[in-house]
Amino acid sequence: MQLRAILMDRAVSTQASTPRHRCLSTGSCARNLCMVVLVLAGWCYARTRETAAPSFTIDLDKPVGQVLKAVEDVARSGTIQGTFEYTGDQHLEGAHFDENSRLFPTWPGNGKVFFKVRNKTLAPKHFINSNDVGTVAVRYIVQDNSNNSTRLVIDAVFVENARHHGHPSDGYVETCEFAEIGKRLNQFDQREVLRASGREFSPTQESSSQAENALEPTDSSAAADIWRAISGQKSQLAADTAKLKQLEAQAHKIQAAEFVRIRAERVELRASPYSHARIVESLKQGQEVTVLAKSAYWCRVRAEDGQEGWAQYSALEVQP
Amino acid sequence: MQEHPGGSERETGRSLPKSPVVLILFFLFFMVSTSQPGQAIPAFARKYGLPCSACHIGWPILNNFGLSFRDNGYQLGNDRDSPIYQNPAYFPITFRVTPQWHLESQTHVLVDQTNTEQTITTHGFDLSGLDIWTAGTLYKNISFQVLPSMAEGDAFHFESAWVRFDNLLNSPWLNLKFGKFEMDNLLSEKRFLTLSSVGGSWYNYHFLPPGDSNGFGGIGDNQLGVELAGHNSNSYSRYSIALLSSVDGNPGLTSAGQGNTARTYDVFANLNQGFQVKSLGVQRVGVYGYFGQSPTYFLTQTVNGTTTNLQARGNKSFSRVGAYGWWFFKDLDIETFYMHGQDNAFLGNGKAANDPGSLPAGAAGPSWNGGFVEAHYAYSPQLIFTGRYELVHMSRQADPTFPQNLGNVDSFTIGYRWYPIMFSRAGLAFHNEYAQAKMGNTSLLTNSDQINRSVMVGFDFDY
Repeated sequence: MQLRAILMDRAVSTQASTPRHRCLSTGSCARNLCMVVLVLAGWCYARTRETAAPSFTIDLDKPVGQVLKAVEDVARSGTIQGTFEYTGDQHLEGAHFDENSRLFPTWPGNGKVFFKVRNKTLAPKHFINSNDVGTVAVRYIVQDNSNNSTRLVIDAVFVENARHHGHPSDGYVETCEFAEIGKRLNQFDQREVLRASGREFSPTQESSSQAENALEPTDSSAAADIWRAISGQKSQLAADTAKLKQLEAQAHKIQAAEFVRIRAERVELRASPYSHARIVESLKQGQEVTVLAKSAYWCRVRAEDGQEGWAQYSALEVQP
Repeated sequence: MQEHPGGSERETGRSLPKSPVVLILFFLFFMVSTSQPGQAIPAFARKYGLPCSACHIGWPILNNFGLSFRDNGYQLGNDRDSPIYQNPAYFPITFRVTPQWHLESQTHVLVDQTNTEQTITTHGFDLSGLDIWTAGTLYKNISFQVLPSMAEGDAFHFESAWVRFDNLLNSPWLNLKFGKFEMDNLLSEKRFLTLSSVGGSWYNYHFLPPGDSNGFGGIGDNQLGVELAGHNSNSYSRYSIALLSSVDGNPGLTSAGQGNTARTYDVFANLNQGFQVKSLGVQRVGVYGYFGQSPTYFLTQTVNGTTTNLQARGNKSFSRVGAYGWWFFKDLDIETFYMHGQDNAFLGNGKAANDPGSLPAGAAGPSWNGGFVEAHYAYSPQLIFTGRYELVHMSRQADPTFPQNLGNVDSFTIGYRWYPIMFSRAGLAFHNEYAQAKMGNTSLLTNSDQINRSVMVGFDFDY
């Protein structure tokens, strides 16, 4: 082993005769080297610890019930997105839903809290300094902001079994989990539009026209009653039509969202709303993108080729 | 909340550095800025597609899962062990070498030219030996390791070469290893973080009193034999017992450096237990004992003036026993070790057992006590600081006329390892270390204590 070799080297080196005056230069050399080493140690110290990402927080223009349903659906999916054990995998399977987790302190605020937990996980990716085998937990906090707005907070952590050492996520896990929730919300919206169209528009329209064709007045008083009924039905039809248009507008807004274009000369689309996050695509000035979600400083957008990612507000402008 | 835009932007367009110091700093800056997390001997990381940190606190120290993985015969114990998950091009091999600059200094060295003692200092660029480490599974529940190793200018030798039959009777408590292997030391000298000449070994693992003729090189030496070992599912409870040829790991049935002479066996046993302490994590304690024999003379044959040893004789006993602990406090772990050693009086005085009259008056079996405290602070998996204090003190000298402190060792080592690159394909550690050891009463002229010092700056890499 090298140890032996080094010991042998030492035995030889310590037997060698060295002129005394060289010791001075050696000492000086060693002192300088030690100083360099100390400086480098400090440098390494300052550079090598990654910092945890803050909680993923986003305000959604959705009713709290809808967000709760989407979050619970994702929490029960059994899969944790944005992390994996083995190279080549895309996510962690085998997770379970829970309403409590010892990996997080008790949430003191308001809102509904869910957890998704995966036990016996081996050094999962995207958890800072992940090491050894342990448990991954994702926490979702859903808070009602009122005014049809809901705040969603997502955190993920990995805790080693042996040393109980906690490793926060670098932000990618939360972002991917939110993407899953976003998909659910979009699905709910689409279903809602379809359901609304089917129940309130077509059947009502059909029944009102049938009623008009069937009516044949027999006497004046009866005719007056019938015409009043027809008038009422027409009013109802107008109201339903207006509601339908409102729903269609809402669906359009949801589906089409807001179109913007790239203002900066070149923008890196990132996997999560952090400047150190992985770059998923580079966009050029003038390219149009669809805004899917907004946070304090970042927008989640979809490029023309379908690629989704996060871009800073400062790099975007609204289309004229 | 999310990061504020522009918060991590850096200046660009710096002018080309010119002075050597700036060039060095530029190089190191490049390494820092391109560094990646994770540690490992890459062979297994490549095999399983796992990050190095799955098994290592910091290469090469194993974490709890790494220990469990090794105990389980280099198997994860899930479907990922199946060959269908493995790249057909995978070959379980890792090379390790450590180019370095080091300075060695020793006080009170007798110099022929002046017939005085003086401090001798040497320094320069150097190479360690080369380790070619191959390990893995031959088949399900049959693991192996072969480690040819060589020092600069030396021939290859086998540091280890063994096959292990794992989980016999489907029980993790029964594993049989056969060949040349490291003793089942939970505190593994093969996996520690110091590499310098003075600090690159635990003195307790190799200690022999001055003048002792025992051929046993210590529990830090790999030995030839067979080992029965077992563990529970998470490797918190572990045991091992090994039957070993009394040859200190040298092939060719070699006793005390004499070929074809060995005929006795040693026994090494180790028992350790881990237990959880709330919030701090698992703590480990253990006991061990090595009980062996070493020859004191040989039957010989002389033909044409050449004397050949035929058989080792006059075997005398020795033992090494003690206890240890490995304590974890979040990012800090502390290893504590105690050893009591003793050799037979014939071994201690270097005398043949068939000539008891040659022993000095009052001769006794030498005994000593030693131990160390070693700490590792993992600031991150990329940067680990280490420090150690170690001592070995004689409690009884083989010859009562010897000074009481003859052979005593008092040593300390400090250093750190920084891993700018550590992928599953290769790893690089920037290694810095200072070590000092005071050897009691060992100078030849004045019987003064000698102080050995090492400074080492090197790159320890594997691929």
